[in-house]
Amino acid sequence: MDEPLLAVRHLVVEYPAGRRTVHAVSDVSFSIARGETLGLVGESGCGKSSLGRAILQLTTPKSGSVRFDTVELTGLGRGPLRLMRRRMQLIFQDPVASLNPRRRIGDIVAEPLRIAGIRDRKTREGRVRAVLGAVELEPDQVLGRLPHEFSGGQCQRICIARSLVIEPELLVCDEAVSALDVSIRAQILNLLEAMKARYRLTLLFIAHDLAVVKAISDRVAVMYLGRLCEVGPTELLYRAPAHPYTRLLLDAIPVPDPDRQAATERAGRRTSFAARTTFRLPLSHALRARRRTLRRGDTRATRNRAGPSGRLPPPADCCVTCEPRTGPGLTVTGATPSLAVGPRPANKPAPRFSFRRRIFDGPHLSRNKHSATACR
Amino acid sequence: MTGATLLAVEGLSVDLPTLRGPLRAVDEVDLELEAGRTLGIVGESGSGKTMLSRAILQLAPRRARIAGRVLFDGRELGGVAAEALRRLRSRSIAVVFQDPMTSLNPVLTIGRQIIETLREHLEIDAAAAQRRAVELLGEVGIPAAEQRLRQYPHQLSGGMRQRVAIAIALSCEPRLLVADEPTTALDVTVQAQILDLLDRERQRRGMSMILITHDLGIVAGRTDEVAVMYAGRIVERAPTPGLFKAMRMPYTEALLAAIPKLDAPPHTPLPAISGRPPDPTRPFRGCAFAPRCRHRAERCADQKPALTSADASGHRFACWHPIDPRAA
Repeated sequence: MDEPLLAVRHLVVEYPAGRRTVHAVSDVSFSIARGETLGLVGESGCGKSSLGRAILQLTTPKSGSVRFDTVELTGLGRGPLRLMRRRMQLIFQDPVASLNPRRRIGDIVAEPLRIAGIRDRKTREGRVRAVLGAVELEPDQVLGRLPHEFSGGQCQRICIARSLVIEPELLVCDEAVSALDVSIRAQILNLLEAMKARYRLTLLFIAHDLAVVKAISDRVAVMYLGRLCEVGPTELLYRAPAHPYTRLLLDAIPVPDPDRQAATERAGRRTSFAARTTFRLPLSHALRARRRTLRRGDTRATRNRAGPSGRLPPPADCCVTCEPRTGPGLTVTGATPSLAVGPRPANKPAPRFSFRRRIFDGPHLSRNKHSATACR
Repeated sequence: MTGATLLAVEGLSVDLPTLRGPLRAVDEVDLELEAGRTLGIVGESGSGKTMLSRAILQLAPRRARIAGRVLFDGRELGGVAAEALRRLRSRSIAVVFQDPMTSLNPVLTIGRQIIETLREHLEIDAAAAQRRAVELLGEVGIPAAEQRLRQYPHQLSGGMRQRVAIAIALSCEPRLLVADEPTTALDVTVQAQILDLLDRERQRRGMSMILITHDLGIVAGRTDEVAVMYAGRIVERAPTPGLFKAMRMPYTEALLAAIPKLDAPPHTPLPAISGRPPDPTRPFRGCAFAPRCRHRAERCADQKPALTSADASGHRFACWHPIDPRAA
């Protein structure tokens, strides 16, 4: 039992970006014990989603190892990988976009079972009904309907049902509650906890909000620029954050208490602002980028140097593990390590379906213009 | 700076025609906002907070039936002709929307979009507009502004795009800024920056602001007054410190309880609000929150509570069985 369910060792994920390379995940190692929830926190662009996908082999890591139970996942062939994927599932941020708008809920939730080769319709329907009941939806009212008839929170319940129907062991939640309202978010968090107990799940919970992560995690890993900068038991990490970046993330959480917010404002946040900017790039880089004239078509990061705080010297204890700007969705141009964050399509095509599949399904009748054009 | 009422909303209702009959998105809302102050409007999605802001800006869908009055600086906006309204919207009232990617034009440069606004409304020449645009970008914390002007929205990060949208909104020195979920699409750290920016610019310009959000945490440190909306109605309205000291309406309390607390131990179950908001196409007789409320009694199902005040502090709530502040 001491063997962790998931062990990630020296994982590296890189994307080509023209002549240069974006280092999305740089040498990340951690493990998750069976039945544990690990929260993975970081800002957008820090590589947390790349890490989640690389674990499931949805993107191929450049090097490193991902060991699930006793099986090494990197380099596994398509067939064996497909068998392994039954044991690990993924939930995405945008629940509406990750459900095919043309298919009925019953079919959507049964899909993993069909792929798993369960031919018998009765068995499939029984399991679909059971799991819909578990996520507190009424199977009879839900099965025949289409995704657009449901609210965001209900769609996320359907996504959770779809991922749980084949009873996986590991569930990766990639910003699964970030797009939801406060009250719905609480419902989904409670539901995830209940499902974890019921299906004996191990959770990797990816989010940018430390308060949300605390509510659900046993251990928390903080990620910054493709590296883990702090990993620890939840209570300890929140009580005594060791890394200044963790402290900065904690400060940014809006606390529903006017007095305490005023206190944070006076004491902490201004300084953490400075910490943030010096974090991004070593000072010399920041200044160099500012002096350079840009040619047409060039893009440069300025996120690094928002505000006048770029003039402050970097604190001695940070910048240590930080490489110049890395992350997914980044475009790299020019010789200096200045980058700009590229567009993040509002609705990414669901990675569950290949383009071939989406084309065979016919044009997407999504209300969203991004996915509509993507399929044309 | 304060004192004069800048915006007054009187008995505002918005009905949207649907296949299932009229949908009451906003239900008899009254509001006042004094010059230089900030009002937070909080509610779940579907509570009508966005439709309320659209109705204030006279941007509600054309097919919507609107009743009631919106007075800006003593002038009723309902009867204003389209052209005059357009002038008013830029110079007096400006908006920042939730998603900066959709509110900026993707095929025009940032500079073109800012300069267009400036030239159209302030009637200044191109060179002056260019200078002002650079200044504005500097004010919202965008460095290397001159280069930025030549870039397109997709070349900026979400936070930067929202800064540009704010710069455009501020460009004509409006007296009222309506920020509709300005940070919902952003990271917590960027959210804090954008909210700080809005706060700073508001104070500097002596502007009034309406901040619309679903997160009580966001309005806590940044507003003078908070109005909580549920099913199209304002169910509680109070000065911010007073509201967070003693919530009277069970819905507000439930919204607050649903936010994960940083000082709670891990795996603390969150007191989520069970059930869903009522169907707005079906009129209900009593309190809309009654089916989900733990304080409900017989009266709640039959009679609609009015927004009333218990004392002189300006704390108003619509509830038959408010939470006793001494019991908390």
